[in-house]
Amino acid sequence: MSKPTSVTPTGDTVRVTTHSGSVTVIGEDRPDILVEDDVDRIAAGADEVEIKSNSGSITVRCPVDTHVFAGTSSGSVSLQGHLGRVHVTSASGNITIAHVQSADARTNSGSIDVADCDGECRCRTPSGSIRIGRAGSVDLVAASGSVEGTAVGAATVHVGSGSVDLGIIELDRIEVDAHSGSVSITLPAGSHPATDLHAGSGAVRCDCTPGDNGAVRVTTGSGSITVTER
Amino acid sequence: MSDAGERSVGAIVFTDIVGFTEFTAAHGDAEALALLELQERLVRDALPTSARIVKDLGDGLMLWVPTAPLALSTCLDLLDQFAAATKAGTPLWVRMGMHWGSPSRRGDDLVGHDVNLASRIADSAGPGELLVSADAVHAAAEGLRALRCDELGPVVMRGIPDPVRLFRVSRA
Repeated sequence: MSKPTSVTPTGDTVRVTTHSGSVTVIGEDRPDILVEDDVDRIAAGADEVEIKSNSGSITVRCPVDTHVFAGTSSGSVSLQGHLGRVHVTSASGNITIAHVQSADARTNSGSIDVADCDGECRCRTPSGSIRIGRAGSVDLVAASGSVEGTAVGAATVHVGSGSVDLGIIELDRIEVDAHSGSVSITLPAGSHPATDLHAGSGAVRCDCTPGDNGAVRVTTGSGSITVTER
Repeated sequence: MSDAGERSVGAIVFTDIVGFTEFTAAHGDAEALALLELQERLVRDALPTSARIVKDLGDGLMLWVPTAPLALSTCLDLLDQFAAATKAGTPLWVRMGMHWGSPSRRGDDLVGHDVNLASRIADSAGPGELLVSADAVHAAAEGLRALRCDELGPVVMRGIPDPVRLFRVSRA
């Protein structure tokens, strides 16, 4: 049975990597960094703590708002509680993020789910869906999979094949490019954006009165485009 | 004549069109072919004379550039051109990965760990992105002065023994 190891933070950043296994990092009200599993290396540098395992899952508890670099080759990554700027990669596995200041999440095969991101949220997956609850702005790429953003600001979205559904909370610049798939965008009430909507084959519907309050540009090769107001 | 064992120190760059399979399914072979030809033409026009296309990889290209600063500036210029083509209506969603190393020569080809690593780096990028290894950042040194370089962290890649520190390089 593994014995937890407590580490005194030397800065505001932790780096957690394992080759095969899941990574869980929990930001909570505590002063130390607690590594719950046996790992191969724990190193406290000048301004960050590195936790590394060659194989096996890792669970780390750390202070609220800790910045996180987390990676695994084969396994899921889960960031829970409240964390700072996070950078997450998985070669093959899903990524789940609860509440962070900003996020960069990349998986080569798997879905990405971000519940709450105060600032920029950048996600990449070639095979899997992306779901964002709330984010200041989003830059999302899903080569084969759907994209859903419930409450987001400025948005850049690339989708190879899959639907896009965005709820915009503050109209800025919205750009969606899809090779195939329907695109649905819901804007705040009273929006008057400049629009540029192209569907290769599919219906285009825009309920907004055109203006210069923000911009919405959407292109899809096949599928419908719907832009509505709340 | 065999030149096995000889090495070519330099920047290894991979380009890859994101969503090419989906594009081909949606638009057909003729448009897909035109997309590939546009990518290759833009790359050939942008490459300095000291650099070269090592090989065609289907929906991507492998490049070799002799110095890291030159490789960075070439990649960023190319991304600008891919973005311009996309804006003009041709969805050239190209991602790029770069590593600095000394791959082995095999005829005109380059092979080895450094090549495999550069390929894996490109896999982690999104359209319009240039990701580079820490070795490439160190080799570029002064060439990065006017650029923005954001760390993505230690990235664990399939088949690569140790996590690799990656950086996202863009214009400042």
